[in-house]
Amino acid sequence: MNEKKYFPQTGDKTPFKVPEGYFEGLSARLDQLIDLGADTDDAIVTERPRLSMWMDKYRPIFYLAAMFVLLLFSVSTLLKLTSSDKTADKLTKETSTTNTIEVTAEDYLISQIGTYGIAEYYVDPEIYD
Amino acid sequence: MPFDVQRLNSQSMDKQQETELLTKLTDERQRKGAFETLVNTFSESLYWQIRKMVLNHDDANDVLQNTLIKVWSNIDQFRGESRLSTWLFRIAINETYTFLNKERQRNQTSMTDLEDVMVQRLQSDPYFSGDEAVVLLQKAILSLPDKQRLVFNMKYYDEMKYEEMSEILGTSVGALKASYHHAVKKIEAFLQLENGTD
Repeated sequence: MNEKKYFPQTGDKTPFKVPEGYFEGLSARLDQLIDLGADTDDAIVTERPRLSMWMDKYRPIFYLAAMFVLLLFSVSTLLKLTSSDKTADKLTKETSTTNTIEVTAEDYLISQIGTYGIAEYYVDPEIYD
Repeated sequence: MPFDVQRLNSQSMDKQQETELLTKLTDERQRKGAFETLVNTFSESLYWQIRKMVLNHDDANDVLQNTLIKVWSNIDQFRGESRLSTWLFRIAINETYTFLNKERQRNQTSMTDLEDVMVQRLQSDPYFSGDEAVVLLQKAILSLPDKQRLVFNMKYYDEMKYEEMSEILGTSVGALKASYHHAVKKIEAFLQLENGTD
């Protein structure tokens, strides 16, 4: 592709320069940076409070554990509420069933012989023999 | 002096020399000296590759330093599956992309295009000697996506072979040829539009 005929003719294609002696001093500057980097890392480790470092490291695990405990508490509360509702229902049902039986037996007796009949039975039982 | 593949090949090492350097780099006692050799051998080539992407000398200096510090910290992870020079170029390219993305994010808040900011910085850079035509060409190159810009720089300025580019960028030769072709067309269209010619 003959792209160069369209592009500016500038002699040296790249018009960029670097400061005098830039590459010669690069290695020494890098050495300084590397040494400084190591010192800075050490300083950070010693300067920071132990608790913060520990907290920083395990913070996600703490959050996860807290969420799990919260979830567990919610579920257990929900389950307790549901089971106490069921117990209450059961008790109510049992009570109501017992009451119903008593009422039904009495009703049944009355329906069979009637209140007048009962009185008659106690006054003169021979009527029913 | 700009990056030149021929010069890089003559300056850089053959496989035997690379292996020796790597052995020294992994040896605690010889590490510093070997790293100095690495910096002296490759830093100039890496610098020009970075400079053509970030344009400004100060930014190029920052990215090059980050690249070489990363090399220093990660030399143990180099498994020798590629040439040392290829690995260095890849790190330099990744660092350049990281820098450009960060700059893009930083400029999002100021509602200014990074490309405009870069052109302004280039024009005020004391280590730039281009005239208006060169600035316009840089504007045109800046209008390309990052990877296409990199391909264009490697081919147009460095006259790098597609096979070498393919090894560094991990892209097929065909895709690189197509990318360069599109880049040239876009730059031509940009220049024609700016110059008001057909």
